[in-house]
Parts: sequence; structure tokens; C-alpha cells
Amino acid sequence: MRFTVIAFLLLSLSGLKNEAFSQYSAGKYRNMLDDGNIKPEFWQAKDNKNEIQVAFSGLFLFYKNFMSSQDLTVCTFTPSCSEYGILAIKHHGLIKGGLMTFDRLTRCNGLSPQKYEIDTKLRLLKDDPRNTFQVPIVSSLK
Amino acid sequence: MKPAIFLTLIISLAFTKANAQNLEQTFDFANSLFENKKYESAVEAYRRILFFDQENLYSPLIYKNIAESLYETGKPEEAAYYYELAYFSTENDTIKTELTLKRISCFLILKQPQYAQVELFNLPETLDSETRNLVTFYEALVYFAQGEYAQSETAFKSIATDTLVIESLFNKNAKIDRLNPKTAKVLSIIMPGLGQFYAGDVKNGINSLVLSGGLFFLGIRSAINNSLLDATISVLPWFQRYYTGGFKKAEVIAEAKIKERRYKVYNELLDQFE
Amino acid sequence: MKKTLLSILFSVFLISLQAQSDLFNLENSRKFGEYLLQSGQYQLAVKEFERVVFLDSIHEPSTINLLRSYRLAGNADDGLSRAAVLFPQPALISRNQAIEYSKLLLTTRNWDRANQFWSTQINLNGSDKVLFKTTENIFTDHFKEAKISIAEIKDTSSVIVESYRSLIDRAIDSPRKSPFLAGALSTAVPGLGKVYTGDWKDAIVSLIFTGGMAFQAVRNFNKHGINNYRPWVYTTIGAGFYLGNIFGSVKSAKDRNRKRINTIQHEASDLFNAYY
Repeated sequence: MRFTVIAFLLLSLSGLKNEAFSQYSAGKYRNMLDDGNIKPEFWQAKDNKNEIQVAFSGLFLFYKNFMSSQDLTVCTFTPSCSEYGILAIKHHGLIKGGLMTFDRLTRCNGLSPQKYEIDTKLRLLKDDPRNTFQVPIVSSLK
Repeated sequence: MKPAIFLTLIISLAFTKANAQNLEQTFDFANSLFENKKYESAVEAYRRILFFDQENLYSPLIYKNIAESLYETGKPEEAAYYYELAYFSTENDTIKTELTLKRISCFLILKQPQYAQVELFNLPETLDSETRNLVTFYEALVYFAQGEYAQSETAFKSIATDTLVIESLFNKNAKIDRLNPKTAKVLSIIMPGLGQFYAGDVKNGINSLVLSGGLFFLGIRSAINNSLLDATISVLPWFQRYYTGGFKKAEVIAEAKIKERRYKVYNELLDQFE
Repeated sequence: MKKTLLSILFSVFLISLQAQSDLFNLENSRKFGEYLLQSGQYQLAVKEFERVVFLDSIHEPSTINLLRSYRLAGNADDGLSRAAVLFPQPALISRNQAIEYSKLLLTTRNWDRANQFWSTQINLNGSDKVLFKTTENIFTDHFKEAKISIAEIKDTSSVIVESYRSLIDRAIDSPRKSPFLAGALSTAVPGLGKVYTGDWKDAIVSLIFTGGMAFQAVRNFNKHGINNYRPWVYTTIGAGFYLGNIFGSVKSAKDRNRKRINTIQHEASDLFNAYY
């Protein structure tokens, strides 16, 4: 009996509490502060089509998690050299993609920024292996 | 003949009237959508009225509802704009206060506490107790976001049911400041990984220690077995990269940890008001 | 009789008055749709013009605006499939409709369908067809064909035609870098191909990387012999850089040529959009 009464009182108290604070709708402001999560998500390693891609995605994830994570941004490009490597292998195959990656490593010297477009937000040079450089024909404004 | 024509005309007139939607009817339609919480559709209808209302008859009546609909559909930025228009198209002080409070809410959702603070100054001195509590809640959030924790604590305490919990949470918050990113950096310069351990990130601490330590060991081994030149060419650049990277990263990790803990305390504070 | 007529006229006047204030009637919807289109609210414009075209699919400007909304909203593919329903016989649509339809085809680079459309259309005039065809050739890097097709227009007073002619000539005459030569040079000396294409800084880095690896490989072969793993690691990485540099030199030459062509294509795009 006593337990029931206490439980009832507690329940009504909690109900009262919710009622009293409903005007604040505090849940809306949960993300007002930065949550401090600096762990990036590696989408490049997802959606592997064959064993080669799985193997290289594994290498890529190992490098990203255990080596690159111990370093600040040192690559002059976006996507970075390791991301370029995995994307190149996925889009151009092992041989061409591999050669492209070796070439990219030598180009990653920051000596000729005039050759590339700049990502103004990241302040890095753009060089994406998937880019086909098609000039849009018809204006997107009229 | 005559009555027939008359009849057709009447019917056609009635028909057009039934189908047509002039400004007033669209206004009523939009309002009914709004009342039934069909906010997306209400916004579209309100936009149409704003476009066709050349003489500005309905627009002042719409601003509040369109702002409300935008707020409910997750567009606080545009909502804040219409709340302001609504603010300047009313003379009623109670409504003005209500609109200002909504605008503050928009800015807090948009992570712009400084704008919210400007709006807080815009409120009248005398308020009823419920509104006063809401204002105090907003003040507490603004102060917390701007790092003025003492004022935030006072504000939170004045509206909380359990001030002891608030106090303990703010004590917890004060402890966060003991973590210093610069100290983390210095510790990691002394020994790779130490700063990360200090910040409470064991995984990255071990990672940094193993990586830099391993490269250091490899370099020494190469210098003894082969030559100093070999060690300089093949291992030193890598060691330098992960050693400097490690202590710079320690600082970044410590900063992120502070944010993470602050976020947690902040959410525990919010739990008290839900 | 007079009275009847008067009452009819009066009623018609009333109806028109009603119609004017109806925000959802055809005329007002068109107006609102145009406002949405002009103010960049393309998704809403699509919705509005879909309704307008549903009410009246004959009105020409509305059909054009519908397709334009699709294109500007970034759904050119949807626009094309909508156009297929809207125009059962594309060969017979008006010139303005044909131009918007061509823009959709150019945006999606649907060349087969575009060529078929341009060859059968009856309301596009001769120079329109030539200009579209030339634009296609410019953007598919077929400048020789572009020169032949633009020559069909004899008139020398048109600005766009003369500008097209001059940029096609520039594209044909401008100096090209040979990808084959760049590759061959880099095969002989690592980096030389990139010096040829003008990327001499990257060339120096390539030479240092490949040279450094070769140096280490030779030293380790002398020291440890061929049965040790160390020289082979250096050899593999060095070979990777060597081959990567050959590939990179070819790519560098192609990139140079592509950038030159892309600049000209941007000019062509400006001309095209100013004219149509």
C-alpha cells in the first residue's frame, strides 16, 4: 500500500515536472554548442565492388585510423592523397589508379598552386580523380 | 428564353465563385492550413498572398503565421526574418514581446547567441512571471554559450526546481577548465602520447606513442646497423612528421575534449528543464 | 432584347472581375510562376507551371517556362521526359519551344536525340540548326567538324557566327603539347616530359623521388645483395614513381590541352547564352 502511494506520488511529481517545463522546449537547443566530435567519417572506403577494392579500402582505413589520425592536415590537396588513391583505384582500376596516385604524390608539393582550382572553405587545392572537367554549355541562370 | 439565360448566368456566376479563390479566400485557406498544422502547404499559400497583395492589406496579418510555419518546418533563419516583419507591423506590446521571444529562439537554434543577446535587450522591463522565467532560461543559455558561467548559473538556479543539481553540474563544468590544451601540447613534446593521455584520449595516446616510438626505434636501429645517412634519409622524415604531428594533434584533441565535455554538461543542464 | 444583351454583358464583366481576383486562375498562376522563376525558387516554379500546363497545355510561353524551371532546378533529365509527353511530335513545335528543348538536350549532352531533333525540326531556321550543331562540335572537341558546319552560314554580319568562327580558328591553330612526346621524354629521363609540358617544379620533385629511390636501391643491392628484402622495397617504390611519372607526364600534356580547350569552351558558352 505504502509503495503504491509513493509510486503514485512520484509519478504525479514527474508529470508535474514535465508540465512545468514544457514552456522552455529545451530539446530544441541541444545542438547550440559544438559537440567536439573531430572523428571524420571515411565514406571513400564504403561501397566496395570487388576484392581489390576491399583490400585497398582496408589499407586506406588502416592508414587513416592509425597514421593519418596522428597528424594534422599536411596534404595540399582536397581530396587528400590517400583519399585520391582510393577514389582513383575505385574509378579507374588498379593499374591506372595506382599510377595516378604515384603521380599525385609527386605533385603534392604546393609549388604550383596556380594550376588548380582552390576550395575556399578548406583552403586547399582541388584535385579530384573523378572530375571529368566538362564545361557547362547552357547557363544555369536563365 | 429570358429566364433561361438568367438562370445560366446565375449558375455560371455561382460556379466561378465556388471555384475562385481571391485574396481573402486564399488568406482563410492558408490560415486553416496553418491551424491544422499543415505548415509546408501554409507557407506556399502565404507566399502566394504576399506576392499578389499589392496594396499590403493582408501581408501584415500574415507575417506572424508564415514565420511560425517556417519555424515549425525547420527554417529558423527565414522565420527570424518574418518575425521581425511581424514585430514592426504590430502595435500590441504583448505580441511584440512574444515575437521577440520567438526570434531569440530562432537565433539560439541557429547557434547565434550573440544575436539572441541583442534581442534580449529588446524586451520590456515588466513581464508576467511565466514569460520572465522563459526569458531567464534564454539568458542562461546565452550566457552559457558565451562562456559566462557564473551568470548562467545564477539564471539557471532562479528557474530550476532543484538548485543542488544545477550547482553540482556547474561544479562539473568548472572542472573542465582545468584541462589546458597548451599543457597537453607540452606534455606530448616531452613524450609522444602523454598529452593525449592527459586529455583523456587513451586510444590516440597509445597510437601516438607506438607510432612515434616505433619510428624512433627504427631510426636508432638503422643508424647502428647501417649508417647515420640511412637513418636520416629513410626514417627521420617520418619520425619528424609524426612527432610534430603528434604534439600539435594533442592540442587539437584537448580542445575537442573540452568541447565534448562542455556539450555533455550543457545537455545535462537541459535535461533539468524537460 | 437590349436588356438581355446588357445583362449578359454585365454578367460577363462580373465574371471577369471574379476571375481577376482569383489567385489560382490561369493568368495569376502564370504571373506567380514567372515571379518564382525570376526569384530563383525553381522547385516551386516547377510545381506552379505543372499546374498551369495541366490547365492549359496549348499556351506556348507556359510550356517553355515549365521546361525552363525543370532545367534551372537542376532536373534537366526530368524536363526531357516531361517534354516527351508534352510534345508528342517534337518536329512540329514552335521555334521558341524548340530552342528551350534544345537547351535541355545540350544540358544533358544527349547528342543522339539532339541530332535527330535538329534534323527533323521544321520551325528552327537554318542558321539555328547550324549554330546548335556547331555548339555540339565545340563541346565535344570536334573543332574541324565545327569549322565545316559553321561555314554553311555565308552571312558575315552576325556577331555570334563571327565569334564562333574566330574561336574555332584559335582552337585549331593554337599550339598543342604532344602527350606521346611527353611520355617518351619522361621514359628517357624522369621528369623531362613535365619540363616539356611546363610543369618543371613537379618535374624536379619527380626526379628527386625517383632518383632517391634508385640511389637507395643501388646502395642496398651493393650492401645486402639480391636476397635481402630492403633493396626490393626501394626498387618497387622507385618503379612506381618512375611509371607514375610517365603516366603523369602524359596526363600533364593532356591537361594543358584540355585547359586551353576548356577556356575556349567557356567563351563559346558565354556567346551561346548571350544569343539564346
